[in-house]
Amino acid sequence: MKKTSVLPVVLLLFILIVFASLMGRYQGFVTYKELSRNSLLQQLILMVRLPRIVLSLVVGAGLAVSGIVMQTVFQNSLADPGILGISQAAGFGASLGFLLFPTTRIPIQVFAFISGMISLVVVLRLARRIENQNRLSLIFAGIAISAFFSAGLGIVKYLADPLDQLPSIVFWLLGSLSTSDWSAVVQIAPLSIVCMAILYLLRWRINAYSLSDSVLYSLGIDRNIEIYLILGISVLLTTTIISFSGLVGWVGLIVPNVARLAFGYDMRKSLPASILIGAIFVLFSDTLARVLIAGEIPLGIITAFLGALIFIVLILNNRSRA
Amino acid sequence: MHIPVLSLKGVNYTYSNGRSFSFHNISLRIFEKSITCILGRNGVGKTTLLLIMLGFLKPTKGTVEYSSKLGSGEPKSKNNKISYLPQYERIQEKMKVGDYMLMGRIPFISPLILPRIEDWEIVIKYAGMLDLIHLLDYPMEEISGGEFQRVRLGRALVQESDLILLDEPITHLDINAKFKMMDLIKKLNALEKSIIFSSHDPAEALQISDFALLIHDDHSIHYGATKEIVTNKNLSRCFNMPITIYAGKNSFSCIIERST
Repeated sequence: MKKTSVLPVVLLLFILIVFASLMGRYQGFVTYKELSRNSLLQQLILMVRLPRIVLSLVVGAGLAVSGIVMQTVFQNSLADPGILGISQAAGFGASLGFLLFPTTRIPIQVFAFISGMISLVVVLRLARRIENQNRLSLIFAGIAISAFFSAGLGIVKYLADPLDQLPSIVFWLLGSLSTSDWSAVVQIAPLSIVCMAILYLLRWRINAYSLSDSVLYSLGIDRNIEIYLILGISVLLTTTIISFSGLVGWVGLIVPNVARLAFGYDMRKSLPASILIGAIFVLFSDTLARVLIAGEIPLGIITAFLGALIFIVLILNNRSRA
Repeated sequence: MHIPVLSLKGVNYTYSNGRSFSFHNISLRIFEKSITCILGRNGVGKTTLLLIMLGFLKPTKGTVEYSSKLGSGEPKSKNNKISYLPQYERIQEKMKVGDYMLMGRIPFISPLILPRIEDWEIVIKYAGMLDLIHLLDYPMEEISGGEFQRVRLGRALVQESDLILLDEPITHLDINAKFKMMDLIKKLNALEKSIIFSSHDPAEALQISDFALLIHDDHSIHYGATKEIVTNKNLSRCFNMPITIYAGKNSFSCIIERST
C-alpha cells in the first residue's frame, strides 16, 4: 500500500501554531527575548491569541470532518454543509436566536442546531423523492433549501434593529473569530471535540455507507438509522461551530478533497488527515485575517478566497488527468 | 441428510415500482449444502425472490425461516448469517480492492473500532482462493469486469456465512470467466456452503446446481431437483420459446429451436 505519512502535516500544524501565537498587530513578530521580558505580551498571547488559535483549530477541524463525513455518506465529493443548505439554515437559526434572545449565547446554538437538522431532513427527503441514484438530486435539493433559508435570513435581517442588531448579524455572517476568548472556547470546544471524537472512532464504518442498501442489510447494518445518527452528529458539530464563527465557507468542501487526494479514499486515513488539514487551513486563514491589514478581515472572506483558488486548482488537476 | 437451511412458508409479496407483479403463496425449502439456481426471464422477479430470502424485503403474508445453525462465525447481529451479492451495486470506485473486501467483516467489528489483523488475514485467505492477491492494492476502477465480479464475491465471502445468495454472478462474464466462476461456486459448495444463485441461462443450472427454481411468466414457481425440473418442456414454458437441451461430455448448452 502507498504509505503517506501524516507526520509532515502534524509538523506543519505545530510550526503554524507557534508562528500564529507570535504574530499579531501588537508588535508585529515577537522574538523570544521580548517575550520573556514583556509581561503584557505574555498576557496578550495567553488571553487573546491562544484562545483564538484554539478556536480556529476547532473550527477548521470540525468543518472539515463534517464535510468529509457528508461527502462519504452521500458518495458525492461536492456535498458539504454549505452546499446541502445546512450552513444557511444554521445561519438563519442563529440569527433568529440572536434576534429573539440578544443577550445569551445558548439559544443561538440551539436555534442553529434545530434549523440545521430541519434542513438536513428536508434535503434527504427531497433528494430521495427526486431520484434515488442521481447524485445531482442531492445538490438540487440543497440549492432549494439553501435559497429557502436565505430568504428566511433576509426576513430576520429586515426585522433586526438596523443600528444595533443588524451590523452584528451581518458581520457575524461574514465569519470571524475576532470575539474569541477562553469562555468561548469552553462553550464551543468540548461539544465539538466530543462530536469529532465520535466521528473519528466511527471512521472505518462510515466507509461502508457507500455500499448498496441490500448489501448493508446482509452485513447487519440498518442504513437509515445509522446514517441519520451520523449526519445528526455532523450537523450538531457544524451548527455548534457556525453559531460561534459565522459562515466560514469552503472548508468542508475543499479540505476533504485535498485530504483524499493526498491520503486516499479510506476514511481510516482521510478523516484524520481532514482534521489536520482543516485545522491548518483555518488557522492559516485566520492568522492572515488578523495580521494582513491594520483592521480585521472577516475570516469567511479569506477562506472563500483561498478555498476558491484551491478549488480551481483541483478542477484543473482533475481535467488534466482525465 | 436433507436439512433445510431456509424455508419460505406461504409467502406472498407484491412488487410495485413502475411495473408490478405478485408472488402468491410460495412455499419451499432450500437444503443445507446445496446449490440452487433460480431461473427465469428478465424482470420475472428473480432478484425480488432473492431479497425476500435475504430478509431485506418482507413478505406481505407468510414467513421466511432460517436454520438455527446458520452462521458459523460469531454473529453479533441478526442479519450477518447470509452473504448477499447484488447484480449491480454502488461502489466507491477509488477505494482499494483490499479495503473494499474488508468491509465484508463489518458484522464482526464493533462500530467504534478498526478492523484487526485477524480480519485482514481472512481477506487475504479469500483473496488467495479467488486469485486476487495481486490486486489488493489497486483501486476498484482499475480492475477488469471479471476481476470485479470476483472481488465482490470476495466481499461476500469474508463474511464467512453458511448461506450465500448471488444475484446473476455469472451472467456478464466472458466464457473463460464464466467457467471459473462456476468452478468457484462448486468449490464453495465443497466447503459446505449453501448457495443460491440466479441466472437466465439454464445451462448454468444444469452444470452446477443440485436444485433449480423456475419462475414462470405468471410468477408461479416450479422447484425441485435440477435433473427433474430443467427439462425441454419446462424450459420452453419458462422462457416462452421452444428450447432444447444438448448434453456434451460434462457440460450442457441450451438452444432455441427455430421453427423455420
